[in-house]
Amino acid sequence: MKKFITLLVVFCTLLGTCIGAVSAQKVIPDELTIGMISTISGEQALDGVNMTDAIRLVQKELEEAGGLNVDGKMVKIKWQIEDCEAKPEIAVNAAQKLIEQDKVIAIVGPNNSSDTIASAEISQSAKIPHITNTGTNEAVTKVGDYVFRACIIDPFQGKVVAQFAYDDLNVRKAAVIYNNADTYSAGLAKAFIDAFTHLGGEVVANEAFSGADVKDFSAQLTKIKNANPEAVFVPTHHTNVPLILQQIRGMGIESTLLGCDSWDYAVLPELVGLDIIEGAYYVTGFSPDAETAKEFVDAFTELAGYRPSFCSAMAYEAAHIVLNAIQNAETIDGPGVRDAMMKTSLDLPSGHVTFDENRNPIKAGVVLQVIDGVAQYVTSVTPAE
Amino acid sequence: MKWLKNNSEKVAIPLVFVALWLLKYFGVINNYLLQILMLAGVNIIMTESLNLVNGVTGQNSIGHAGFMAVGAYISALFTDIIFNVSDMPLIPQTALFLLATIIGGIIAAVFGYLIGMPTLRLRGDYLAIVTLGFGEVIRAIIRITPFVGAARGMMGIPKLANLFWIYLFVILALYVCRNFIDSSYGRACMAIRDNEIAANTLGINVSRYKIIAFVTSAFMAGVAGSMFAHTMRYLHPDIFSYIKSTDFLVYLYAGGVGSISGAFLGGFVLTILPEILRFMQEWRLVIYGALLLIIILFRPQGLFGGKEFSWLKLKTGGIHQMGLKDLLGRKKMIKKEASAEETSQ
Repeated sequence: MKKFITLLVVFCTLLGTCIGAVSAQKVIPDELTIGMISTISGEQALDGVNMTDAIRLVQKELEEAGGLNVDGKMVKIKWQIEDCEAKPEIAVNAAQKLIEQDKVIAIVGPNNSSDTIASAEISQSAKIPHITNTGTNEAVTKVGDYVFRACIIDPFQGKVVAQFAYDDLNVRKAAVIYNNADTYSAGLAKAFIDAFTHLGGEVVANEAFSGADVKDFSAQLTKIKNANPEAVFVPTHHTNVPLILQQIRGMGIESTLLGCDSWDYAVLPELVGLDIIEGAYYVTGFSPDAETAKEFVDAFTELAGYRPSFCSAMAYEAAHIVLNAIQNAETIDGPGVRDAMMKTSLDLPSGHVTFDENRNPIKAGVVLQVIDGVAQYVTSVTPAE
Repeated sequence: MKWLKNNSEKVAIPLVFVALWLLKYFGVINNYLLQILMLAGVNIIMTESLNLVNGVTGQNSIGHAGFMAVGAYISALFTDIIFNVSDMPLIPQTALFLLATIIGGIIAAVFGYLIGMPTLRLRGDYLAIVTLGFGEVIRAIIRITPFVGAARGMMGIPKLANLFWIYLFVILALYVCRNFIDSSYGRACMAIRDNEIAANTLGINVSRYKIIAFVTSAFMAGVAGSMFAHTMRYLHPDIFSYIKSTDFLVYLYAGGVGSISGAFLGGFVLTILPEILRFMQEWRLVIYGALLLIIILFRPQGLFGGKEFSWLKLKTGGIHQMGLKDLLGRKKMIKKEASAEETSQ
């Protein structure tokens, strides 16, 4: 009997150490599936094509490398792409399918905020990391701690503009004109004012108008003219931009013009007038002309036959954030990859990317200047905390 | 035994649920399949609701998603914002959920009355235009209402709808429609559909019956909206666009307009079909469209047009009842029919 108990104890200890050893070791599977949801059909089918092409490029890179290198082991990565028709309920089905049938490790996409919010609820409860490429609505990452985004959000742009104006243009007195009936416009104006005064600059005129249908800005612009700023920031939707800019120059205000990503619209210089917008600066999330993006843009253009849009660039970046997290994860499962994603520190086409505590990216904004009616890349700005 | 034969549906309906529940319990139905089944249930209620207006009464509602939006937003407002039910224990939570669903249905019915009352007095396609406009107006109002999330959408609605509630409401919807059609109201509505002038001559108050059918339908759409909100957990005004209304019209006409069983099958099959076709990748919706085309080309009356499942036990005449026996012994039946035709000739 004694012998038996000793044997049992020895056996149990051995078993215990074995289990301990196994659980401490990182288990690397041979194959991993990553899901992507995008609008392959429906109203936003073009974005779907842009995203699929970005994933094709990532796939090609992985094939050339022979898989994803995780601690020396080449893991085969399979991409499962699902359509959501730009309908939230179909996006939910797609997310459920990816998680339940395909057992994905992470989900990339969808490209618009409402589909992302709906499908991210599913990923959140299944503890699968989910990263949208272009869902800019602030509420997206509030779904839960498994939801990330690859693109910069509105308040962040305001910071970038402020930093660029203060450091690169040496502006000390700035003015803002914005639409207070629009959350996008008001949010950007507030972020700019906060950041600019924090840097030590002075906002000499802060003028609001209400409603996108306002056509006459002379009351606001007279005040701005009297304050004599060095630069005027115009964070409004592109429909308002032409009239505001024309009236600014019409009033004889010669300050530098600053804008936001709604200005990133190919025909805008023509609408405004080439001589008026000449020399204006604006900020956006990605420029194919940036030095850091060159390699990606060349590879993408060769594969897809057209230059990458913002949507494809962000899908590409989101995919790489996930792949990088898989490489760095302590355990290869949902929570492990999520924790690794939080610690992302990666050089991507739009610059160096890290995440803040709300899972929004901290990375460079791209500053463009309109020269001869064409937006030219100037610099990338990463705002200081 | 005789009781069982006569009341087979009273046994079959709970049995089907138990079977579904067991399948879910043993993991055959995973969350993905469950999600599709629940969505199919919501779509079935919507299609049945639309059938009352478009199929039974012969009017045209092409903005039915508007009523669904009203039901969805009102019930979500109730469970999520007025009473924050997610922290409550199960019983008051369920009670408030059901209350919210009923209130959602009632408010949708009130809207149905308000827009049905003036337009249903007219003859022709005015209802189509008005319902289309109503759907868009509701969406525009939601977009500018800040406390339901405006254009950002409403997030974090508690997940209260489950397979049981949706199953129950689908069965209730089927029985409401069955009893409606079998009642004098339903027969009056069908008379209006078949010939409005003749119905009027027979003393049927045409606009009254049209309004009754329309309001009942709006109530059911509101209930379906509540189920949708508490399944999806996220509402956005653009979900309820005219595209959504068109989806329900397609379900109804492909399933068989005017038939409860047709509406049921249409809603069920056409919700599940795009998911089954997922393996086709980008060809998915092409095949889906082609299948729809084939259905309408070869069966213009829809899959089940003019027929009903015999377990619904409709007493109204002119309906071909389809029982299990007919489905199994179909060939025999056709032969019998053919021989009957020959003898009659």
